[in-house]
Amino acid sequence: MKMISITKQLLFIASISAASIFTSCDPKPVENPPMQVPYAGVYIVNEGPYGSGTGTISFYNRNTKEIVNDLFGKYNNALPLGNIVQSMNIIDGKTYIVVNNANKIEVVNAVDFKSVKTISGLTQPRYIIQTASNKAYVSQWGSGSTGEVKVIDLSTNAVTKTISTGNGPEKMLQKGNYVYVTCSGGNVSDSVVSIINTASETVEKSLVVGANPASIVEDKDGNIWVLCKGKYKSDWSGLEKSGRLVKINPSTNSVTLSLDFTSTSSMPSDLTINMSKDKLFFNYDGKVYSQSVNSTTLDNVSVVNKSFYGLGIDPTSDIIYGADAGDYSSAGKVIRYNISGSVIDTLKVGVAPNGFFFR
Amino acid sequence: MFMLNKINVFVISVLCFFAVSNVIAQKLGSDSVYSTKEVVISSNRLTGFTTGSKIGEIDSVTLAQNASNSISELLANQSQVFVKSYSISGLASPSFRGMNAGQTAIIWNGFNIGNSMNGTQDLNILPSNFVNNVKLQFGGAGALWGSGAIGGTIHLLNKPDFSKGLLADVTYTNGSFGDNQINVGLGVSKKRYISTIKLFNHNAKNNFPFINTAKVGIPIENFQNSEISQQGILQENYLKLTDKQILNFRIWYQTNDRNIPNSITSGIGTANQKDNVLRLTSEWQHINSKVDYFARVGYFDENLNYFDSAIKLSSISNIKTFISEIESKIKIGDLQFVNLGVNNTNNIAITKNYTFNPNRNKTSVFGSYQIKNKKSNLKSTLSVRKEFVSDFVNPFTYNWGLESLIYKHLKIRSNFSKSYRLPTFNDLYWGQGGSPNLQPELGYNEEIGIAYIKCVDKFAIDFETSFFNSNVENWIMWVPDSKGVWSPHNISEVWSRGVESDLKLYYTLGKVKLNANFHAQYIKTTTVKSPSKETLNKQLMFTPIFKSIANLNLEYKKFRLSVAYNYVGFRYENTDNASFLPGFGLVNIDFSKSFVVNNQLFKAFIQVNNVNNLSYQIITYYPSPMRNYQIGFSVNLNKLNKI
Repeated sequence: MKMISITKQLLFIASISAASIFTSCDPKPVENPPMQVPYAGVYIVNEGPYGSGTGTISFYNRNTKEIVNDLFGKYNNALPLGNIVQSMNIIDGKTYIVVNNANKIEVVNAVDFKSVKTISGLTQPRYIIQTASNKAYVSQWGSGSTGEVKVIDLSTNAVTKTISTGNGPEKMLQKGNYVYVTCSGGNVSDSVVSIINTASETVEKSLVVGANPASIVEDKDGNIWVLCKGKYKSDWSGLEKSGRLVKINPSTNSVTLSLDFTSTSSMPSDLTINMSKDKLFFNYDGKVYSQSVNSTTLDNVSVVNKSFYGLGIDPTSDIIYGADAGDYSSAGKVIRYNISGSVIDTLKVGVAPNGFFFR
Repeated sequence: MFMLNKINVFVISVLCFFAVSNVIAQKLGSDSVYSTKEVVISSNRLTGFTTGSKIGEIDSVTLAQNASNSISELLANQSQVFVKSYSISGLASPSFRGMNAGQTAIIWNGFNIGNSMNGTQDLNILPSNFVNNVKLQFGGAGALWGSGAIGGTIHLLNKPDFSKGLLADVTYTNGSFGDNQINVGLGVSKKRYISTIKLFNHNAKNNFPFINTAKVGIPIENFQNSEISQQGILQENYLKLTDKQILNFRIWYQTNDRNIPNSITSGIGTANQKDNVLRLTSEWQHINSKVDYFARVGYFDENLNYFDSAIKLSSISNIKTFISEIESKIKIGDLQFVNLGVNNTNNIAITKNYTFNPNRNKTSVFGSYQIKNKKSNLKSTLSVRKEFVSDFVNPFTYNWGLESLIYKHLKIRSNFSKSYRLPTFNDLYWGQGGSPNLQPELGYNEEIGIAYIKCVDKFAIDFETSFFNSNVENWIMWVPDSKGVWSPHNISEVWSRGVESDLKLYYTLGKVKLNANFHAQYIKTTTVKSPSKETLNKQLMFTPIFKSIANLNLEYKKFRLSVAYNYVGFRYENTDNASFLPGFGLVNIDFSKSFVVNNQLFKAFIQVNNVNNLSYQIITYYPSPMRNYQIGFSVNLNKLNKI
């Protein structure tokens, strides 16, 4: 008798607990109220979690100081942008978002962020710049060690031409009749800036600058600065070639100054320039350094005692934006500093922020 | 102390307790040509020295029903283990109690088959039809199995069955999405020796339709780059040298050629992996009344060849493992056992992913002591182990378990353990980021369980609830530096605690046999030490808090119907728990009809998976198949030995 009652009780408890588990609810998702996209502001590019997730674009409104995360998802029915959002650019009222691992560029209206078109048929695209009224260049690593620039017709958003470059083309800069393509090595290694003549759309010169150049800016005098990351030893125990900052004279397309970094472990990265275009900023050795464009040696002046996964300077305010990707699996942070390096505030953005676009 | 004065009650109950699954298996599997009776000890420590541990079992009937499925599908649908699977042919790894794949030991007939590069095995390529029995040991058991057994241990077991005559079986299955598998078994089972061979060939396109939520217009598309082709052979030999001595020798060779699918937020996958794995093992057992001796040797050779055609990335690795082990089980009087053993494991990896080819030699000394009282209602086992590896200071690990029948059919058990996990070769030596200075992870586990077990002629019940608490210190996490270079550090600490309930019922009513299993668990696994405060005290990513299974098996004459409901609760997608994937509950149905003609068994079956046609993801943006089917038949032929 007693046994049966215990059995019954146990069965009862089991069925109750089973029932409660089977019907257990998911937590409620946090919903943000819809917002209009103001055109001018700071766009933060968030790569998103590596492998399975989606990247996002965050928007910082300079006036209201509000941040809106996942602009694309918000205005496109929660659609994911894709895996590893690398960069963005606004060209003729359209925002071009380069999604590296998804091998595509998502084109949206800059004003309402509604999806317009997806440019596919790319392989590991990185950056996009406008080179003519109806033309844009996309740098892409391509398959294996075949770096390329894809030429896009902006009226149709179709690829019209492929220009072979050095390995792992990254950031590009247009000046005069030339587009300067930094060749960061990609999956292998390289040391050139591929200089493309925009008239002939061919590489006119492969200018040797230093190991694995990846970022590029133009200063107030019209000179071009390229930051080379350096190169790891084959056993990854340190750098075989240290980083290097290089100045290029665009009228001769030759190197006029070459400054070598000393660290055998840290690679400099994310070359950017201030509002008056007379001071360079970059990440190096766990800090953000500045460098006058008039110096002929490394200034060795650190501005912020932290280095970032992405670095930018707002050309309207001279505010430094540092992207802290944290553990790359949770919301990242953007820390804002004034140009002398004092913290202004911190913004919570998407997962793995890697760069900025200022408008 | 206890009011029990009747040893009989205990003995009956204990027999019943250990027999419940066998009773169920035998009653339900009465048509099976193969019986599940154990003749030799398939794993000495698992059979004799896991006192106080929670042990789950997937019996031979369920295994036979899943003969064309991988161990990944088997565990996901039939067990409490959460299988983290990157869609249908991608990587699938086990998670016991919130722990990760490296913290799970995978033991095949007593040999740890985890590979030294990543510390685990992909469950998606392990075939269910190559094993006769799967046992799941929950909680830390490092003192029994060595490095890795922190969250739990998966035991894949092969059991010999002597004096069965000539045996032959064929199973053919054809399923949705270009899936077909053929299993063939042949065997000679005499009084003194057995020689069997199992072969399988599995091909699947896995091009299932899914709702592409990552594309404008959310179109229905077919999943791509997820084809798989596998072939395997398992050859087993058992020889009774004397009445007390058995020698066995097993060869397992398998090739896997599969494309690795990408998440739907990435471009279409372009990666392919071709593996071939050879496993050779031999064991000698000498069973005596006073002392049992066991000697084992194993050699594993794994070739992994990964190639991504889009980025021309190639990774070729060869992993060799040599294991030798001796142990002896000594009986002291009627109430005490001592088990002593030594294990030597040599791991070699030959790969360009590292700057050199690591060669690790590990020697372990282990022992257990078991004592029970005269009434046999109280049993306690203490196990200890110390592993010696050059370059590492390895912790001393222990397990202390207690089981007691406190009142008639009511049993309590408890277990306290310290376990550990050595960093994998990838952790230590990966070209860019590998960190040779890592420390082993340390796991502490405490648990108690209460079980109510009763079986009468036509009815059996086994209800158990377990409460556990686990802490893992020095948890190894790969974290990036500010420039995105990832490397592993002992920076995290994880606290896992929860409650698990399991209920098994067996009932016979006339010609109807009913067998039901329910599992439910509520487990919180949180980061209690973390480099970032946003992730502190947050649930681990892709680790469900709830999981439950309801499994109903009905047998009437030669018909058998299985209905399984498997619920996996929501999983956070990020370490700060900002967003999550919703929970899902799948219904799977299996229906079969057997025919016996001239004492030979024929069976036809149909399986319907995801009957409720759910569109769900286990990992973000890796879709799973919606409703799908498998149909097939099997033939079991047996010619008995002439007596």
